Amino acid sequence: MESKENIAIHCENISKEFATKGKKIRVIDNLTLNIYDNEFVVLYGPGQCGKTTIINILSGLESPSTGEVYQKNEKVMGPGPQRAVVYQSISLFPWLTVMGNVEFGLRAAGIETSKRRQRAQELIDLVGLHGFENAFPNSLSGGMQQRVGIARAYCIAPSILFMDEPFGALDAQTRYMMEQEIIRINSKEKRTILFVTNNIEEAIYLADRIIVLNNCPTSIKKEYKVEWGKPRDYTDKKFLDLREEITSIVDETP
Amino acid sequence: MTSESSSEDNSFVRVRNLTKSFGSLLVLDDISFDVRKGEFLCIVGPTGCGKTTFLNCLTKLFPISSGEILIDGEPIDLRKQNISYIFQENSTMPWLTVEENIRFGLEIKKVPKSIADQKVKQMLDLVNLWNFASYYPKQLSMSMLQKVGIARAFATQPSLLLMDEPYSQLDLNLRCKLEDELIALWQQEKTTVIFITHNIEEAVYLSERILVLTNKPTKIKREITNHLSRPRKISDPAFVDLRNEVTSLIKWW
Repeated sequence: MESKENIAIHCENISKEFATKGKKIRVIDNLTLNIYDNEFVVLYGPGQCGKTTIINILSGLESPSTGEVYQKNEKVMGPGPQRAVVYQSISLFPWLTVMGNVEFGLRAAGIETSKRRQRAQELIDLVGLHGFENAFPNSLSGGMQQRVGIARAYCIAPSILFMDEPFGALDAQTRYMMEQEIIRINSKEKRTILFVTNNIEEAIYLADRIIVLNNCPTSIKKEYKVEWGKPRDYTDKKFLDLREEITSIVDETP
Repeated sequence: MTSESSSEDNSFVRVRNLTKSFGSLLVLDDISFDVRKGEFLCIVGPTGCGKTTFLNCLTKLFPISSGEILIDGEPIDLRKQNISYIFQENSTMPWLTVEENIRFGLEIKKVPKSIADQKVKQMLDLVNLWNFASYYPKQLSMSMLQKVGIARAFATQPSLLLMDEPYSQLDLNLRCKLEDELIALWQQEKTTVIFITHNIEEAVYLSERILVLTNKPTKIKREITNHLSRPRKISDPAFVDLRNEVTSLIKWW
């Protein structure tokens, strides 16, 4: 599976510096990373360690200070429809209905109404929101809003999906449900996913591969392949053992 | 004296037939239980089951529809009884430093300055925020803010501490650390704690007893005594068994 042709996105020696008050702060330090087709990769690291910056650079929302990002053989120069992002803050358009939000990307791409409606309806059904097509975001619960965000991202059929702590604001139980859901949704509409979290349970539940990050400046500390079938059991012994091991190697934040 | 009456003597919080409705929506349905003095009680239940409403009734933020809540044998009175409440969100006062935030409750209670000084110092030590005593909240991380809230609550030596998901916004490593600090404080101060959470693992880690609530209209589904010895380990088979038992009572996802 891991041959050169199967690399979905690739970055080489990327670094990122920000300047504040005349001082330069290096947030990412020489990061090299391959993500393979259809792989579910989780970036796991402590709070404020620069995970979101990595997502922003790989998706083309920010440019690296040095280094380059390639999707297949094409250099990533800015955001594009091949790369969709799901955010923690959900960021739905409050003036659009569920349908309006989900079909937004296709509408922007100029796809005709009947075609895009059909595709959007498929995704709305897939995320379990059938019957809520005409609801506005403010009438939905946090978990339902994030389902809309996920449907919107899948709708444009990107080849890679970035998810930046999408369940971080949900309560523990709703989170378990959404983790289960993302596994189900992704088995129906298979995509390459790069998922960021600071929750180790979530990382082990979802990942084919976990990349553990060092604290700022961010670099790769260690990688773990998790080759067990899904869905997984949070209280399984091997699950808890791996959780303990990864927890013990992560940098403590002050 | 029978064992029953001695346990009655020990009860510090007594809730009898607590009922709360909002208009026609019945949220809490005839809930009765006791909390012993010095006990660490966790309350868990499915999402949206009215856990926070329950705490808000207990602190009189909401009037109750019927029933009775007694603390130390008397109807709840916030001026008389020393109750602290720690919320999920940051509730530090942005115009006060860390030290002033911790001192805040002591000043309201008109504690003499020399005693307050000593108490503030002790709290800064306990939550390990000495280096940040003169910082303002906006300069601190979420976990530090939560520590300030906890230090402020413990500073007044409350006889009852209510905690509503105080750690749910934190990442797991920090949560575990703060949980250990909380247990140490509780053991030292012998405070009675009612701790509300969605997180079953957290309830099993912290509690001496767990109340499992049902969906709305909320009743008590099960009361589970937690005999696990401390320090607890999440991978211990007995821990896993108890966690799975509580999960099976709640699971809706």
